[in-house]
Amino acid sequence: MDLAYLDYLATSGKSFLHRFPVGLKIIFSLILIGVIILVQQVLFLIIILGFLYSLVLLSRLPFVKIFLISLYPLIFALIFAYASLGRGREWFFIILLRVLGTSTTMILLFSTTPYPCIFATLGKVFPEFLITVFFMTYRSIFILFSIFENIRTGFRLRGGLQIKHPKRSLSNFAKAFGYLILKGIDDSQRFYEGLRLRGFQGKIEHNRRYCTWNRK
Amino acid sequence: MSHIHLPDGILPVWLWVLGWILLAGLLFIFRGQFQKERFSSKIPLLAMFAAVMVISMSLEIVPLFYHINLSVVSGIILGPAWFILCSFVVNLILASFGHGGITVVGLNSLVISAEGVLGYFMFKALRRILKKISWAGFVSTFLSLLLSTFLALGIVAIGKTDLSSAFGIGHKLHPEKSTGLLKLETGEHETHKQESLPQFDFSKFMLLVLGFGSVGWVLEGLITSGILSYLNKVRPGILE
Repeated sequence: MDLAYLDYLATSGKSFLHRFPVGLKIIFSLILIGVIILVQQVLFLIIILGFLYSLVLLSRLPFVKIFLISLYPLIFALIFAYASLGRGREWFFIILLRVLGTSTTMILLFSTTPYPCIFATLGKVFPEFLITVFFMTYRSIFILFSIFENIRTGFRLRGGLQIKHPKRSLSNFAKAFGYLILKGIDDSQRFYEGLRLRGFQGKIEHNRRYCTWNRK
Repeated sequence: MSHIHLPDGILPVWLWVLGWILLAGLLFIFRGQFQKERFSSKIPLLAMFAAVMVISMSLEIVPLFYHINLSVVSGIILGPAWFILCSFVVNLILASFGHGGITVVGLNSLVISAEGVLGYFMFKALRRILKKISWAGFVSTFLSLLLSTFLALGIVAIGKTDLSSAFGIGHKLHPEKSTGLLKLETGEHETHKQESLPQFDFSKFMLLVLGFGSVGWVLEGLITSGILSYLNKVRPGILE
């Protein structure tokens, strides 16, 4: 899970894609995904991927890291691609390239746009309540990451995961997740109460300048 | 494994549009409850479980092609209405990173919602019968994962008749009609393809999903029962 890393790239980058208007970026990403869905030729999918990769390079994003993150969905798509082998090798590659194309598009969007800007823009279309839930979830992921770092040490001290001791390993794993959930609930609750005390009314306000061309 | 890890453009349009409509319908039904509790502790609770699910679903066990969902734990604690919203949020976030297509978010949310809601009701019933939380947790998780996997397979089975048209293999039979990059199929074209091309190997797909999944369900059942026992021990009120 590289959400924290993508978030860092989105907030620290200064390229033209980072400064591009968020609404247009979202629309452009959706159009690109639509094209990837409709395209049925390996060559054209490769051209789209080439275009996406050139955007990654032009945005001065770490290419290898972005490429590795985009490979993750392929693990599950492989099962489906394998079952479709009867249709010919071409469709095996089309399935994999489609997955790679859509994941790269979305990773490019999230690594060049800070998430408050994305949620604030989506707030113009979706109900504020839903945007609040998305915002809180996204924030909770980072809260969990910080707790997870502390739990990892305790987990290892208890023996961690050992193939020779499956029962103990599963028990350790379950306790670690149980603690993560409880600590996460408390921290998330505290974060939400903090927001409410500061006047949060279920609407995410954002600095327009921060999310557009004028961003410095 | 129980939800559909299909990329965009594989299932027929009517099927994934139906998924979105059904999900919107469900969320609309429960909108009153969401509005009533919008400033309650439910939002941070939902957000935390959505985050836990996003993280657990991102930790794939590579040799098993499986990831843990933790949907049953979330369903039990959040309750049916809030869990449906939670599964939508989780799927949309996962889809934004390519884990399942954007178009199948509606269907995936329905499958995971079924998993959590079934788990919730089964756990409530089994807790009274079996008395032990760990057993109730294991059985309800295993059964709800099994049923939701069949629901996911059913969706793929419904869509498989249209899979060949989604793939558009027919252009090889009529090359003169398909010189463009985006091939818009005609009715005649589609009929021809259905008759003469090999079908998507659903039995192979089902075998792989059930084969890898069965190991995963046991694993997830054990982990869920461990988590529920821990939560019950440390904070008993949370499971009520």
